[in-house]
Amino acid sequence: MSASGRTAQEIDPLSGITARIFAMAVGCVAVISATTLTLLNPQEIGSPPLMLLAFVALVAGFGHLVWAADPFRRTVTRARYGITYGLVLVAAVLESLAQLGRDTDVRNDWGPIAVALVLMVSGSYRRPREIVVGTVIAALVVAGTTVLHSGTVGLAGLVGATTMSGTLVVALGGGAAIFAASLIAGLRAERRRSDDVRRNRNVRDRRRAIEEFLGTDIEALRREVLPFFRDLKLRDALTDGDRQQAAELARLLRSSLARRLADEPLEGLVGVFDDPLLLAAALNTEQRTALRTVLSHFAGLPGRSASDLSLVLGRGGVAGGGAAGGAADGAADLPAERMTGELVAAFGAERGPTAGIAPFVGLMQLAFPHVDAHPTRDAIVIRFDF
Amino acid sequence: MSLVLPTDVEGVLTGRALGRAAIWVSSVFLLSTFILVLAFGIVVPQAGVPLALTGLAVAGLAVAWALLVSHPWGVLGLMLVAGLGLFLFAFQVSLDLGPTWRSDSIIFTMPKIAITVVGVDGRSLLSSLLRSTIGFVLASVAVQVATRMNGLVFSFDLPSICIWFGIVILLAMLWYGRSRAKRGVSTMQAAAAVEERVTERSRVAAEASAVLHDTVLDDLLALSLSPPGPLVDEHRAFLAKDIASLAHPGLLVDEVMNRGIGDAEALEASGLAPIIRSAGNRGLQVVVSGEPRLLLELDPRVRGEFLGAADQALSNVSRHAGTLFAEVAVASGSQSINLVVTDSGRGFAARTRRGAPGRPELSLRRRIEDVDGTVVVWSTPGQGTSVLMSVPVARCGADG
Repeated sequence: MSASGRTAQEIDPLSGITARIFAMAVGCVAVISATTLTLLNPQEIGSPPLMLLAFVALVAGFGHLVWAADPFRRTVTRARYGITYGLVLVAAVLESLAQLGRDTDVRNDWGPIAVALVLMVSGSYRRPREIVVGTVIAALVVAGTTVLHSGTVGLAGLVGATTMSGTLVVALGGGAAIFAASLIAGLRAERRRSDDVRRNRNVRDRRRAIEEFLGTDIEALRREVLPFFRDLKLRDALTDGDRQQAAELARLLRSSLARRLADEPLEGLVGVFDDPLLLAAALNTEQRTALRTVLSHFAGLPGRSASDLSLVLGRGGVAGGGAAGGAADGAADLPAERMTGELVAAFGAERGPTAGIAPFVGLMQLAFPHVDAHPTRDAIVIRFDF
Repeated sequence: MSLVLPTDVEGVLTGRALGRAAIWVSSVFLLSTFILVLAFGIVVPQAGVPLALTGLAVAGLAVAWALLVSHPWGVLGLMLVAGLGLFLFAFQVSLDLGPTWRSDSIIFTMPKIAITVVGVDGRSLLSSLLRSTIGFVLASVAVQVATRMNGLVFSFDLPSICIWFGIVILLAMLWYGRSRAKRGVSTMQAAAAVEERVTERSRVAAEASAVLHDTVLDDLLALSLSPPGPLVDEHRAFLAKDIASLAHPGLLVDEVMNRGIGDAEALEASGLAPIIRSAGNRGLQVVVSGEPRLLLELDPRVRGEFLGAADQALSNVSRHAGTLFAEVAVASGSQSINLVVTDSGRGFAARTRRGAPGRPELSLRRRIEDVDGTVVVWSTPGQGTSVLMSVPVARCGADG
């Protein structure tokens, strides 16, 4: 995927949760409209098998979109949306062909309505330019099918018929493109503004930083080294005993530093932490923050604690084959050099593990390039690479 | 550092985007109405043509305005104006229509839809539903009264009723989806904000601690290797400094924090920040590491070329690397200042990129070589690319 121009869902995956429900509703509206219009105008159907195929394509198209828009997956990619769009376009053409020679009123055709609706839902999932291209293609197809039925009515009649059938496509397709462009621009501006606010906030945290600094192993340093240095400065002379004490303090300090380097803050947030290759060091601040937030959420659920959580980091499919035990179906798709992680939250059978976690998966998607969530009966497995 | 928080939790941006889209939808429906009037050859009395067109235009402008304002009474007033515009249009157009025409004709349905879409921009579900319903009722009443005055047969406009109902259903779904997306978001925002601050404070504390440990460790080693006897001046100096640091650790924290603030200021002053922002606008997240303040030591012309090359390298990442993340590191070498642009994208085999002049990396190389610098590119297919650009210290501002 090119870095230039991300979709609204990629910039703010939370919008994908709303968009999926919207896609489901639009799919239902499309199918209900198609059924109603077909039942109201049975005399216009010339080929029932073609009409049946059109219905199959329509249902398959929207069904695929609802599947692809699952908030636990990354995004509705161009290919996934392309499949939906193609199927609905095919449905519109088949519906038109099914009425060939008997279509007395293009106003009651459901093909253009379905095409317009599939364009309408693309606003959250695709880039404006792609939506415009899709709208132009759809308008041409709808105009073509209209001409097919209105070939002998003269220019004015043709203009009237194509306007009737094409208005909804142009209106909703163009509207979706404008929606996408406006939302993407707004999300980017908002993100930049938030970044600036936070950059200016750090200064206010000085006191807390000092407190934390004092709370780290500097306390041991102050207890051991400070009296030694003060005494030495007072005496203004170095003895063999001082040299030995300095060497001993240096040795203790070195081993304390080594221990501190090996400490991983995320380890304290989970019951099982497995990072044999010390890959946690490669997590950036955003990724750590997202992980901490999601772990805190899981651990804070009623009756749950950090001990119910496990975090496994590895390379390639290592994490996928770890604690989750086979939940990593997509591990083979990841390039071998990628670092991957797997977060498993175990739940009791009394609570649905997926309840309310979609926004947290969305948060993970903001920080990691690839995130997949696999809810099972009593656990949720979130896989990510970084 | 980019923000790891949801951006449009309250749906303000989504509402604004929906409003703009609705202006387009409304305009298309009104324009189509006009085209249909022409295509159907509807005869409007000569004096009535400007009135009909004015009515349509007024309805369109009022709807667009209603989608841009937020005051409820303002919206209601504009919807009334839109209804009046539609009445004017419907009255003029239906003046000479024959008895076969009915009040549910498509030339009346389309403007009704154009007015009904005004509801999508509501700030709440109730407000959205009210707007849509009021728009639909006003438009329907305007059309029915106007056509009835001219003797057209009354008929329920089923398509417009269905579309109004569809809009109501979709609005309800939209708001339901939004409420689901918001579930847990307040907890998440609070947790994320706390965690981010903890992370930042920990970083400052860890860095200060590391500085202190390194210094003290070096000084202890120096003492252990020194011969017994009176302390020398060097000993006295570092003992005084170490005692001060250990006794007053706040000073060290200040130093580390000021260094961080200095780096942010250096990013702006050096001109690197706009380049990072520009990459961000293209969808590329760039992390800056090292010492950006080193760039300020460069002669302005050299710095310009250096940053131009960095911008070009990041553009290449956006266009070719197929990744959304890159890193820019600034560091000093023994005789040079180095800037490295790294990505973990698809990379390339060196041979496949050799070819015609005009390739982006050629002009990048030319920029750097023009200021006596060097460019080294490492890339492996599937494993990303690193571009190291160096300019000699001799070309820095001191002698530039």
